[in-house]
Amino acid sequence: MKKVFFLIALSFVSFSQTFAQPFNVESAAGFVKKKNFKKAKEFIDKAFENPQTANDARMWLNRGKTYIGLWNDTSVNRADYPNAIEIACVSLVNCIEVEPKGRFVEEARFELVNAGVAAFNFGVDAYAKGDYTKAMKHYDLIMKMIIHDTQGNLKRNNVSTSIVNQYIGYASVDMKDYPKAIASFEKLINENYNDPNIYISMSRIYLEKGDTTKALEFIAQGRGLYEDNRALVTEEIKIYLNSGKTDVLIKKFQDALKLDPDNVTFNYFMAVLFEQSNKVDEAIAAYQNTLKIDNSYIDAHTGLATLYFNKGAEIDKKIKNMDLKEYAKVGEKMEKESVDYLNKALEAFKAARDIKPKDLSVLKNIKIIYVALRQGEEAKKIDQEMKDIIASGGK
Amino acid sequence: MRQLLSLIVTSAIILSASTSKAQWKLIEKVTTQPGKASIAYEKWELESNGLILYIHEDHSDPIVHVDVTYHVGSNRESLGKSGFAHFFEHMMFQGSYNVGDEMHFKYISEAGGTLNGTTNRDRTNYFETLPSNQLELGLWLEADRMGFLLDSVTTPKFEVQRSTVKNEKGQNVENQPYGLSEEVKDQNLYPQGHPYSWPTIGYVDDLDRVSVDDLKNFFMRWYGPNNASLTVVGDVDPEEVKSLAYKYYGNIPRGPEVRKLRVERVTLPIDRYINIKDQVFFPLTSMVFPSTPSLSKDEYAVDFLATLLGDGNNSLLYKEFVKKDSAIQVVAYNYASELSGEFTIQVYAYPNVNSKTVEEKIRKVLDDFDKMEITDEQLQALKAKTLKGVTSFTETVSNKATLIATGHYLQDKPFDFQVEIDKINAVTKQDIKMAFAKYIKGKNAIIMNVLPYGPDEKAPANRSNNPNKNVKSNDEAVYANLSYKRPVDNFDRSKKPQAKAPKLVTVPDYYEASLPNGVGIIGTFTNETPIVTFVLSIKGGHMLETESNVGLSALTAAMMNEGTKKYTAEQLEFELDKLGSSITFFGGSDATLVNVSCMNDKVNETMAILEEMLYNPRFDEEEFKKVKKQTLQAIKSEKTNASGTADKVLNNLVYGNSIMGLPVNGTEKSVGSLSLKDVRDFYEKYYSPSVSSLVIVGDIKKEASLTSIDFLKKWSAKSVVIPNITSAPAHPTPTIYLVDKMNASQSEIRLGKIGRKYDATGDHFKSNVMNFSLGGAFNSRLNINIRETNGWSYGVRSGFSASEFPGKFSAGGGVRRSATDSALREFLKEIKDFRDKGISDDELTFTKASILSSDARNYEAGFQKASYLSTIQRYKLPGDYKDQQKRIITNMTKEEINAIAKRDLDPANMVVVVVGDKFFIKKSLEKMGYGKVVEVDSDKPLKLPSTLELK
Repeated sequence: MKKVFFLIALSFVSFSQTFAQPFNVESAAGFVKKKNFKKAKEFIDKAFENPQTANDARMWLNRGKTYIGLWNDTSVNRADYPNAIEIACVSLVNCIEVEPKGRFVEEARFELVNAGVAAFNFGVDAYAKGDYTKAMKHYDLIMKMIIHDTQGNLKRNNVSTSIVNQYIGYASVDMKDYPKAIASFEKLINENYNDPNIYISMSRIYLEKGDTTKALEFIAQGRGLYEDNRALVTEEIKIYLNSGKTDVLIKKFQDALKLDPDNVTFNYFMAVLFEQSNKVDEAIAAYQNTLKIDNSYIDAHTGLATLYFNKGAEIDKKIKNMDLKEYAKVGEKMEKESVDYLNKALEAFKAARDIKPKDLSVLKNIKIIYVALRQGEEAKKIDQEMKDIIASGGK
Repeated sequence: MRQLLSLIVTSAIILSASTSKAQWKLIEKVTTQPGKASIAYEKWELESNGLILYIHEDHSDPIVHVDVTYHVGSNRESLGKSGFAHFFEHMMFQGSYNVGDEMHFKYISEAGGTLNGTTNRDRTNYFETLPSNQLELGLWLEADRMGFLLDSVTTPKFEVQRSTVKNEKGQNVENQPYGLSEEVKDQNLYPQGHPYSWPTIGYVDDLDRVSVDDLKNFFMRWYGPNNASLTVVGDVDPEEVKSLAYKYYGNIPRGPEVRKLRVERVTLPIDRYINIKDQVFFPLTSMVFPSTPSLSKDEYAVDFLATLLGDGNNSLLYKEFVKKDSAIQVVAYNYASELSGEFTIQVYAYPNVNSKTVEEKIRKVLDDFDKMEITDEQLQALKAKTLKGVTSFTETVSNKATLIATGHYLQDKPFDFQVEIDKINAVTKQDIKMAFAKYIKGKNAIIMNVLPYGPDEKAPANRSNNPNKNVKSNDEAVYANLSYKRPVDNFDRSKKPQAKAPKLVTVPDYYEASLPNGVGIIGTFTNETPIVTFVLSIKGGHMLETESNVGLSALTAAMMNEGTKKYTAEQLEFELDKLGSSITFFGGSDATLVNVSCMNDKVNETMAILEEMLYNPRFDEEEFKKVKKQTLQAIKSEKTNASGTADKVLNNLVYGNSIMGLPVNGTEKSVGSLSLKDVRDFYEKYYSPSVSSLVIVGDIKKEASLTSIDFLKKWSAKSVVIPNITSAPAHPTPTIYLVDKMNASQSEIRLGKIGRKYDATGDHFKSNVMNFSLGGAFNSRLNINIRETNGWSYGVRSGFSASEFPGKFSAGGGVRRSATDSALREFLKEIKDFRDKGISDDELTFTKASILSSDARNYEAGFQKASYLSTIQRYKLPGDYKDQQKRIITNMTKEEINAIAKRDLDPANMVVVVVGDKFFIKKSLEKMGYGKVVEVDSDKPLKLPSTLELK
């Protein structure tokens, strides 16, 4: 009798212990339903720790629901549960994988959407804050979840493999994990992912690796698909600028200007390139065009002024080297031409001064021109102006 | 030196006075060729400041349309500074240096004109249509606000208009079902910073941040004459136009140069999904693909594609969704702007239909289109329908001016209609397929779902979300170094121009006839466009119903459109489309109307179809179930429309238990109980020539028109007795009837009382003359108070309506929620003041001038001619009734007006209805002390005893 009783008691104890574990899961489920996620967590953590329920589909489902519930509950401090999303995502995936044809799969897939969106937002946020490791972790999680999103619900919430690959690519670049970045971007290119930035990203990776040829290949590929994309054009120009290929650059800028004739930067760089190539008239026209678009572009004013001044000075030099016979023929006319150029230079420097009244280099040039024009009084005024600026702490 | 200078100046003045031609440079002159549809015009450039002038002569009516279009819309705004162009549209009506505050509206109204301004992404236009003797007034006003506006932009005006614009957003966007969906779609379709990525009306917080100086800078930068076109269309002499235009615009200085906007083609890397909630009944799924901009070579092919996919019973989307009972409506169109286009598919699903399913079905439809062959007949139908639509658009001077001005900013020259017609005719089946492959097939889209709030779900306070609120605009260079210098004239611009003698307004000549079976006919010939319109009116309609079958007339009319014995609904529509014709039956409040429109060379074929529809309706059971379901769902959805709800409740209160107190399309209970047999019985019993009349307007002579309707002679007459309304509820105790609309950001206010029957020259006519200054015009007391002075509303009005049955007085409009009680107080105060103190001398002058002068505009378009003839026919009026009306108005005295006001604005039996969020407004309405606030359910019409006997 005692033995029977003992056996009965023993079986009762083991039965109750056995029963206690589903009870934790049940209790957690009940609290999830009541949206008391903190309480649910108490029970589900116990169930998670117990080997009998540690790999139970229902446990995983409710663990997922509990932790995503915690994350989304506005009365809860998220900082107290920093890994909530990760736990939710892993749990829901496990629920599906443990029993792929089980009765909890549909519900897990449904909850996957919330968790996936949360994971994506968390990853993007982490990336923005510079925590690339955390960002990457969440992106990788999402990729595992997407496999189970058979209804495409994550895609309908803008969480898709393409988008996540793009983010993985960017994060990998920042982590200098170029192989991973290249792998992600290549996937996107193969999928015909419609974003010119992918080609820019690939180009920059290869520039980092020192392979300018490959970098330019990607730019060309992108430009073939998005011929009017300014970012690609600008990227290409930067590469050529850094490599000093002026002759190619002029053509590139001309092409860029066909697409975007009012781009002040393109126009200005065009002028600089012409100047460097000694194509003075073209440079003057390009500076003038720059100023038509943006009259406050001071570098264009000073660039133009310098060209005019140099032209005037060149003519002046020729005059000084002339013999009297030649001077009698063309001297006066050339003098007038020289003065015209100096006056144009003066106007351009004055326009620069209007924009930056205390720029000493501009004032110095104005003074030089006044001297060249034999306007001594004006030159003196400028001189005084410069002294006043220096005295007041200007440079 | 000085002497030399003055000599030069004098001779310059003489030179300019002797000929203004020297200032105008002719750019081009286009004439019309016989058989061609081109709009003839002259295009001139004012050399001093770059203003472009277009002149098109149209002497068919003594009217002129003056349009100034500035090539600036919301696309010239900056991040964080949205809504400026639209804000300026409001400021432009607040007066300028020589035109007093609110006077623009007053001058135009007084001159018998109508006016408005509109802003879109690409441009802003300001226009008025006036009697042609008032051309100079239009030019003077527009020039003053082009060159002299900034003098009168003051902070108080600015603040009021800021409030008005915010109200407009509340009323026309936030408080409208699906209102915010455009804004959300644009945020997602266009990259941040793209000029189309923010709404034209702007974000409220951007509007709150803007300063008067910001606005002034915006004006100085973009509103110069060199960035504008002036288009004058109508009964004008081009030389006079040029001379006057030079006078008023010649001294306005050129503005800063405006260069063409260039943006990159919009690309979507992947489908982008958006889900938003709104006060809607039908969930909406929109699929939007980046497509082709205005006037591109693909545009017509893309338009045809949209028609095949989603326009009409034969479209693929209709067959997939409406025919199969999962949606109430489908739409497809290409929304083309200057910089880009948006190919849009929209499905308004029934509430139980899942949005994911809708998306899948849309994709299936696109796959089906990919596989389908377009037939020659389909192409013929597309072209016929489009050509008819395009042709009818040129009917009015304002439409022609719009075409000219739009063509100018899009392509630097007006639309050449003949070129457009040639383009339409040139579209091939391959073009349509290629357009599909280029813009739709396999391309990414924005997929937006607008879903209803749950029953107890509260909308957030701010549903419009500005993604640019923390973005710095970096537009300083754009607005640097701008300064305003008032133009200097050599004449006194402050004097309002005197009008020339008005031209004689001739009402249309008309003929009358009748058929032996009782059909009365009235018609007029006009060949301004090659279109003919027939309007058949079968009296009775809603008036023939009872409480148990209310909605039957509308349902019957709807079923008349759903096929005949010979044609299914789809076949019927296709036959009409091939002709470019339309025939629509519509159940109205006191008649069933049949509107027929066709090209003049398709009259006989169209009439053959009308005959088939009128005598042999199909009355198919399946179609009936579909139409009935659509009607029931539409009734359920009405609650989301605050304005419609307010009108419905007002009618119930004013007319009580009579049929006029019940909604024309019925109630859930009444429509739910109707059967196809009821429809057939209604048709058999009440569609009779004995109560029918026909109006014919268009390019068809009397003999031909009477021949074309010969088939009506065989229509058998039945005796139809239409009940009268002889009593209405009395409302002895002032009460505010409140209808709760949760989450409403605006309240709809209505005041009303029972009125009288129509008369052309008696008390009803005179009551509307009296009402003009109270609430019948922009410059009326109600609107000036509530909209302009207080900035509580986008617009309020009042008026007397009437027909063969007693009409009503009604006043109302939408107001800002927080101002509901204040606005209602002002409504009551203004009505009381007008009644007690009467009309002022100025108001009487304004009323007479406005109404008398406006007659010149009343006979321009076909529908206006039809309306005039219909009135004569319906009320058996003499042909000179308009002259009689003019004499009455001319002779009306203050005393007479005041007596009418005392009689007709009597607060006895006046009812007040307010539709709004009761959580916010009920207490303040109760505190007003006007009377009890009684909550009513708009779905449950009140049973009110009709104790007031009507004369």
